[in-house]
Amino acid sequence: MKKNTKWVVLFLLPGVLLFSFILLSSLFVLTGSSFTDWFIGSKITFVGLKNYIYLFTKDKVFIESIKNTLIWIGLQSTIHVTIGVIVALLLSKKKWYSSAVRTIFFIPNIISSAALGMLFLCVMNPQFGLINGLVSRITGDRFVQNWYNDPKTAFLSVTLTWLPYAGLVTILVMAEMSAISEELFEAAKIDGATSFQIDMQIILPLMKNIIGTCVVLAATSMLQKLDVIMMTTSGGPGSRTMNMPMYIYKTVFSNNNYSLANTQGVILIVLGVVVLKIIRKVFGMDKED
Amino acid sequence: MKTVRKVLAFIFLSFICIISLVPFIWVMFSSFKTNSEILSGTVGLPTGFHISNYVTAFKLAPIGTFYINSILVALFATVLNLIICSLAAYVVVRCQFKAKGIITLMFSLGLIIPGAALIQPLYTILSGAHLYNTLSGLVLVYTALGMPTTFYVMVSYIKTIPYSLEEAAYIDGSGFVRTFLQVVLPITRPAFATAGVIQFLFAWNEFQFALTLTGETGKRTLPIALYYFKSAFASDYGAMFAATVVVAIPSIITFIILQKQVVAGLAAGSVKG
Amino acid sequence: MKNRLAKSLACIMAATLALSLTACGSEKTTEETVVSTSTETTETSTSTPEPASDSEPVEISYATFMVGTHASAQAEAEVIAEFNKLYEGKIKVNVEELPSDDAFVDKMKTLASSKSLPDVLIGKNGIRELAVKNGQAVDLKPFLDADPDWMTYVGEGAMNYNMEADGSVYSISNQRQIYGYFYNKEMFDAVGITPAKTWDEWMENNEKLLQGGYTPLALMTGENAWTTNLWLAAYIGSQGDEGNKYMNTPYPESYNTEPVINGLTMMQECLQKYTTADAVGAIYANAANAFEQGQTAMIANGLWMTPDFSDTTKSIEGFKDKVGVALYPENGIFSQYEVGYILCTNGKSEEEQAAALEFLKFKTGKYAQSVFLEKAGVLPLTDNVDITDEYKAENPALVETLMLAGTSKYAFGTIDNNAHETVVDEFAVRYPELVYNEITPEEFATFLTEAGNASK
Repeated sequence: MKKNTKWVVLFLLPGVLLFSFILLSSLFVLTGSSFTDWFIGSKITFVGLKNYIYLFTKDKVFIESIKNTLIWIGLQSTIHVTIGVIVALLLSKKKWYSSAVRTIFFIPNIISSAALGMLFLCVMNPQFGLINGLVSRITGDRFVQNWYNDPKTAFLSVTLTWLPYAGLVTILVMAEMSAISEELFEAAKIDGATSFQIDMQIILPLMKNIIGTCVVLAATSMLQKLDVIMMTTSGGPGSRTMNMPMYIYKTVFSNNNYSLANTQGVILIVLGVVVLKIIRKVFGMDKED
Repeated sequence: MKTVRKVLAFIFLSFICIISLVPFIWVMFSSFKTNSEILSGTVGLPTGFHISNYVTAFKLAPIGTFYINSILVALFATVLNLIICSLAAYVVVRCQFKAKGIITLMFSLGLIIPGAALIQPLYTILSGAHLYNTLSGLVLVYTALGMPTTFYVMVSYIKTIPYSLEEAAYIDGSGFVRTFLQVVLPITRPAFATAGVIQFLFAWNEFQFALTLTGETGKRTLPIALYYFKSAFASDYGAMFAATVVVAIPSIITFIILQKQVVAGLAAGSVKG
Repeated sequence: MKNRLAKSLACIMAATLALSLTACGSEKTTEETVVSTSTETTETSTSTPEPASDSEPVEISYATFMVGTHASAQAEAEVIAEFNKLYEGKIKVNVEELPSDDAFVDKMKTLASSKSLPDVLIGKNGIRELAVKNGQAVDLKPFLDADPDWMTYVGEGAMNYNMEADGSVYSISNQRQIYGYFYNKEMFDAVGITPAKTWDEWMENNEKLLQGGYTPLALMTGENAWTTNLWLAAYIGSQGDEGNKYMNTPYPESYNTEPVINGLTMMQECLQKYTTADAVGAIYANAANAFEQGQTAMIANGLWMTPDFSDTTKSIEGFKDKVGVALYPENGIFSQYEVGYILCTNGKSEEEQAAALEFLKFKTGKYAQSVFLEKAGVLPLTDNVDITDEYKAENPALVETLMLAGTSKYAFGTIDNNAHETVVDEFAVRYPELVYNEITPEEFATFLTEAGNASK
């Protein structure tokens, strides 16, 4: 560890400046206005904790949005990351198809969400969609399931629009795998380790850092998820697929209520920090090594 | 046992490929279909390869102008973001200083500030700084919003590099900056490539801020073009998917070029272990 | 190191809190800064400084969503080009294109919050109300009074429609809307029915169509549930004087009324039995396609849909001749004005105010109205703009609708025009629950009332 104050300051300065310029002032606005009444175009008045009390005692949709967000964080940081890691481990064996599969797996991340939303609507359409068509063909009966709007399947269907697409996790893990030295594998092989043992006992422990990072990114992405929900269910039926970003968006642009939206924003940030803290602890990311 | 695992792996990878390819192929095919073919769920190849959707796409939306702007914005936002974050990540991993916790938190916050709540404050800030309706304004916003991801990727990667390499450089009399540039940067190439891909895609596909923070057609970026085909009572989905293909191609090329770098570490001589 | 994150978080939060509280205390200052930044914005966005000499044209700003595939895009471009030509050297319009209606509304709300709306824009979806609240909107009544020529083409009807309780007029409508619904004549003939005269007959017709192997209705509940809510509004609006008054009242206090609940009960049955399998959650394009591809017998929609019927990329061959128009049961018809253009020049320079008013007049005057009629099928505000015989010959649906309008008993507005956006959003997320019997029509109505109350 070096102590080198001059360089530390200089290296950090650009990031800190940009953060202060773009995000810090927004944070002030966010926190400050959460204690006010502020509708678009109207005067701002101070109301203390009114918004917080309202959200936690009166607003059932908000409570449901927290619940859904937390479930999605849970699923995303476990199943989604696991899928990505497994693909990375399989592809690290450097088969002829490795590079092609890696590219293919990443493609869903490339298509912009405006098109993805429309695509999911068409593929899952109850009348003519690909999925129902396939099921009908296999069973021989006309199969009609309204995936996004049947209260029983809505949550799962929305989840599946992002849960399996873990291409990002795969490339992040593979990038870090490339730093493992060949000799380590050779040595293990000589010791008679199977490739499964190598994966489990050598590679995975070395990947702890990047997997932690992937979990952080996957979990926090659920705190920003908006466009696909907006295009498929708008948070419905009722509030079954409502998450916090979607509700904040509605509160701003339909209710014109900045103060309530910003209160939700502050709660989301606090929640996010807690989630981050837990993940960092689990993966030992705050430890110095 | 080994065969079972192999078969399972094969099935798993095939499944992954199918669910990833379906969207892409579907978009490709749709870009050659008529509106009613798309909305009637016609599966399979379009009836003859009409390129009329592509013609419509270029005619109705200012794709050319948006293209140039998008390239500029995405490139600058990526380069600036990588420079800023690699510097910060390096000192956070390698140096000892008091504010480390707060710096880490600062870089994490961007991950959890909800976008919808940022629109209005960002508009006010950029207007005040005379950066509303400028490409540089967009570059700064994207650079800042992308900082957390890049920072995390960089920190994670730099942590895996053994300190002995830098130590050797210091013993040879190399200074702080020179060590960073000549020893650390070359081996962090995979991290640069992955973080770069993520940041590029973010800047390339972002819609809401692009629309809010610019005010004239000459200053706008590609994602906005897709919405020229989505009007309340007259959407042209064929043209929208054609535009989607046009928008996605540079991203795919960027990814293919950069992904070679992602695994380049192996060839460049491994360091971990 | 372990607790540093928590500690620093606490520090940041505390600092933020302290700072923001002081910021709230000095509310006035915040207001002022917002105003000053917004004036700076207009300066920067117009790029060239205010005209120093008379030779420099005055620049005004205008935002529009009529671009891309929007039905009025061509007419819009033509009118703006004509204005720029006519006022060359004097006034220049800087157009901000905002593709898609949602994007337009979202951005305008953001601009309204910092008092930086463009000089002229369409004030739909509550934007007009925000502009009045933030003080940018100009009362247009005095200008209408002072310019009889302009008033001729705006008309009493459109003016009164947009008049506030205190007599001020903050917007000039951009179109009159009159429409019934479309039906597929072949299907009606095949099962031997004619457009229903009562709602009971209408439901019987639905059943007959279904028995005859046809899907009766093209409904959708995604987006703003447009084609579904038109039937609902038509039902409510034709339930005697009470219901009719309700559908002509902006922002009703409660949805827990008998006509609304009965209407919802009827729509529940229609969505469960008489429509396509994808209607719940479908977007407008799905419903339109179902009708235009000859898969359903009826769709409730306005005349802007008629160009689609002869477009072979959208409709089946010869579809135009199969489509008939009809009044809603009980002789109901949608008849309303759109909110239209608002002028947001309060606090701007005198030259800009005058120039923007000039543009607004042009945009709502005779020339613009006739271009929008010819190119986009938009009905003019008054009969003072002629509908040519050629145009009539090419658009029989329009002629027929105008004729039917003469025989109508009930005229009403749409839910989209009369309800808060929060209510329209609520429809979209509650319809699926209604159809899957998770909630009753009464509960549905209560949710709507609550959503309306959440809006200000």
